[in-house]
Amino acid sequence: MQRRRIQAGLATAFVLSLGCATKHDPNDFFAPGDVGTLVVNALLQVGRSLPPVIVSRAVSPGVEYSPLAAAELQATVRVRELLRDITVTYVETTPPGTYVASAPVQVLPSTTYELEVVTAAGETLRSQTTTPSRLLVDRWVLLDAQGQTVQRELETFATAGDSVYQANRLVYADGLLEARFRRPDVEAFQLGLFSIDPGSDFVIRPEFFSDEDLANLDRQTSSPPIEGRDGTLRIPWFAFFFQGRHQLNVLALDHNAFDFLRSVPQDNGGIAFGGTSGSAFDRPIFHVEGGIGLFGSASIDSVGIFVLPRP
Amino acid sequence: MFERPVAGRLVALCVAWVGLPCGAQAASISGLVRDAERGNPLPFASIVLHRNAAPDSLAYEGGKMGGRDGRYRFDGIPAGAYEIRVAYVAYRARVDTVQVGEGADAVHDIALTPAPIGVEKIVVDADRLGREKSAQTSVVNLDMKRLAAVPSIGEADPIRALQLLPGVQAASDVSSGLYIRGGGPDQTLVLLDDITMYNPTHAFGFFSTFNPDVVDRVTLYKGAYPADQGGRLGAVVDIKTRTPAASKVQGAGSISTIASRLTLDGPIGRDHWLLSGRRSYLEPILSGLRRSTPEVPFYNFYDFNAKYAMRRDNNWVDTEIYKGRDNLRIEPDRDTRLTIRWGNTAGAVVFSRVLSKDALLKSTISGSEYESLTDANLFNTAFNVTNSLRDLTARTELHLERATHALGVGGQVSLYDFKFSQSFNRDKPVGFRSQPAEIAAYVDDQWTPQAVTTIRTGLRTRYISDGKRLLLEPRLSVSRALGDKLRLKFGSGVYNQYLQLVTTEGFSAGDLYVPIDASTQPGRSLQAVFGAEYETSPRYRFSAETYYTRLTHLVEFTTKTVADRDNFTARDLFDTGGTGYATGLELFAERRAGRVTGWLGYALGWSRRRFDALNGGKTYPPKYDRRHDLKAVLAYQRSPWSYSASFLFATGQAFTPASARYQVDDPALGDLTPGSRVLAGDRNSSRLLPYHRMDFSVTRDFALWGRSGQWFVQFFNLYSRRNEWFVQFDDQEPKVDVVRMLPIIPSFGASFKF
Repeated sequence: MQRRRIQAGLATAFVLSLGCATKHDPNDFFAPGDVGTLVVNALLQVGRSLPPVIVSRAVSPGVEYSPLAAAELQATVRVRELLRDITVTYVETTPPGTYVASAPVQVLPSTTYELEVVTAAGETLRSQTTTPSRLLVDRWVLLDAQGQTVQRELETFATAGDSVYQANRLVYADGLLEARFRRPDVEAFQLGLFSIDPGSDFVIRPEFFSDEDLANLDRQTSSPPIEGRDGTLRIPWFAFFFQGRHQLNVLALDHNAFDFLRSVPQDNGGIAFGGTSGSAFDRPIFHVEGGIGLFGSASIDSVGIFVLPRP
Repeated sequence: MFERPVAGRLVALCVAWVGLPCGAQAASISGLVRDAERGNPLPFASIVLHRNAAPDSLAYEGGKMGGRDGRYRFDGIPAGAYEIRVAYVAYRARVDTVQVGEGADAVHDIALTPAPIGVEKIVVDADRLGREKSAQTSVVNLDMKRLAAVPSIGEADPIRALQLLPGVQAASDVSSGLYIRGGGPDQTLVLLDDITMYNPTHAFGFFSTFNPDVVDRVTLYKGAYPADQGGRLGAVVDIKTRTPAASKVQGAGSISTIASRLTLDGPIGRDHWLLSGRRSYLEPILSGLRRSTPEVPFYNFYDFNAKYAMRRDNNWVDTEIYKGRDNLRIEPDRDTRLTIRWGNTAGAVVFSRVLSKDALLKSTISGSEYESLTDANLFNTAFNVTNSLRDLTARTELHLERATHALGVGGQVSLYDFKFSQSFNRDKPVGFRSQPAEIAAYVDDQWTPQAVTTIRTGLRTRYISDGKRLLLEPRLSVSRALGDKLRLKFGSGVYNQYLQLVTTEGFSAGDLYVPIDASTQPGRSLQAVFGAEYETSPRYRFSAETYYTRLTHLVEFTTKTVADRDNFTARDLFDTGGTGYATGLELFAERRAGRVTGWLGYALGWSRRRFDALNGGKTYPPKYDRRHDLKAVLAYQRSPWSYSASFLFATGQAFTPASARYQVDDPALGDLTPGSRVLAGDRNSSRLLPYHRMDFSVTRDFALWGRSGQWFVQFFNLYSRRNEWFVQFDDQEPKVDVVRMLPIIPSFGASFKF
């Protein structure tokens, strides 16, 4: 009996000792196989000049990201517009890793642009984008709370200029805001919302938000890609946390930007939960040869509104 | 033995089979082995027929096991007086005497009385002969007595108990999802009395939907399952509820820290009924927590079972209904609320008729519905999701027995109705609806050419209106005994999966079933299993099985589909065209009698997948791949006390590590995009820490006012190891959040009978 008790005690001690080993070496979470990969970052906007192209290198996942340290210097950057067969060379500027077009060339709709980056070490990165056709939001409307009927037509920058904010004063959560447009031939749209009055007060104060949560709220936010099949997009009130002036952008996305947005773990917002955990943590679709990143394009239209708190 | 008839062949073979000689002897004895108290049939009872030699006649000794429906039959026996000895796990053995006249067909039913609570209670599997002597590979039978002896959290849980078998893992501590032999939860068919249960969990997977007071037994086919079932690539969990047959009204109940349940059954005229309900009562605890943390939800679940059994001579009609619901509500403030209700509703009417002494016809009309309704208002933005799957199924089976053959032939028609509709910000709903039909037919023959050899062949054919597909699924099992103690087995089969489950880790409330429509191919598996069983004595049994499963046309849910896609197809929702395999070895040692019982199981496994669209086309391990899996269960009984403990050890789950950090702007935000981005490395190329856990329970029998009962104390995760669940990377900072599973959870309660 005594022997059995000793055996049982030893077995228990062994099992309990197993419970102590619960620490994971942080390095086990990282497999830095892509460190040093070339990264390109540029979005062409229809109707505007060619944007800067930012060239950098991927860094270790276990260190804080520093744009300065990641910047790729002394690269040769060219963008070629196929329609008119124009090649624009880029020159290096500040901040480091930023390259700007040497000539002001306007981005055309429905036009293909090719990017080529050659690093000082001779590595080559290539990508190509075909810009969407021009997006024009015909009507910004405020619907009733059930989304059935139009209560009010909003002004646009085209009709009201900078006074659009004063013209479009909306009470938070009163009605539904909707953009209506002739749908260009794109796979998806994206919404971007900017609170442009720094320091404006909150429009709501969720009881379950701590002060720290409120302080961490960004004044700009974006949506996942949305199909908007019927040429309408409804803007959710949950994107608004602040009073005051807001600029709301609608982007018609090219194929590259669409694929990137729908596949990048942080932003996918698809039918299931995304994020950087489980099967959702997957490599985005880049459409970049010789590196990663985004060389995409979009056609953008905007409206300005002024959000008032609820009475 | 109508229900054991297994094995199958082509229709032509069936026709030939009818002409086989039936060993025309003078007399026969047949009947039903059942529980004397509850009346339910006892499957696979051990039955020995003995006739002493009279001076003017020959002696006779024959042994059989009963069928899955409790029926037995001895044909071709000489007339005379016989002793029938019947033995069954946890029941008193019984010896009856039966007189059989020349050429007579004697019918003799046998009612066994449960043994008193004590040493015998969990000594031997209910499947003792059923598993070990039949041809089928990879099948495990657990009766409810045994399931109740396994440590759990509050409720004895049939699904969670299966997680203690080698080769079977839990998706997580809070999940009843089963990873079986390297396959995901969607690859396992879960049946309740032959009705498909599409979401067999409560509390986001924490509990299964099966009330332990109603469950009679659980059969798990880990692979190479027979032709009478189909539709999943991997495994089948077949749960049978008990058939009410008590001679007077009786009841059983349980009160625990999480839920209470009550079951009543009794006679009504010549018929019998059963009602059972279960409900959680976490509200007081949650309400207390909500005072300081308003986002703590309101939550409860309930389920309800009802069964009505009619017996009229050779006809049986069983009617049953199941309904289970989970209700979750979060109302942290006036601008935000979330309500989710989900659950299953199922019902069936089963008509069984004994056509002759060796033919049984069984017809079933059943329906099953899974529904999940989400109604949310997130910061004044409405969001609604309606997600449901209904099936209406008619099924007919004919079981025949002749000489060395037991044949089953059946057909099934299922009408499905898939609905998914979501509305965001009061915009018009988007989603999909599909109403396909599936017609299936099977033939299944178990042939015993010699006493030591059993060959089970089967063919299942399926026609699916979606894509107009005709699928052929042959099945084969062979078993041969080498002496009294050793038996070798081989099993193989082809399986196709038309319904695909989209689920989220740790949150089964939004489970979505999607048909694999004409846009892609349904998944296909080819399984092969080889095993050996060695029984040194009634106390000890050892087994080893090795398996290989080849998988093609696999799909993997993709998060790349835009949220407002309307009328989406399977190709929109899944990465398609995947291939893969799962292979491994399982070892199992079991002590089944004595004060100390239990088992030790070990599984060594590999599982791999490859998709052109994933991981750069490179092969990767799915998250349910486990190299090592060790399970130990130990029970000690010394009346009135019972102690049991279980220990699990498994290789950590695979996860995808981060391979780099980079910066690319969000198109809509431009240079105002915060932080950097984390790049995923090779898919599932790292491992969480090994998983291990010990559970422990103590039970004591008591009697109160002449009624028996038990109180119990259970400890889930006795040494409170915080096993890793999953990993989340941070965009802003180079840190990693490891989300861990449950700490120690004690629970206590009492169960009683009256």
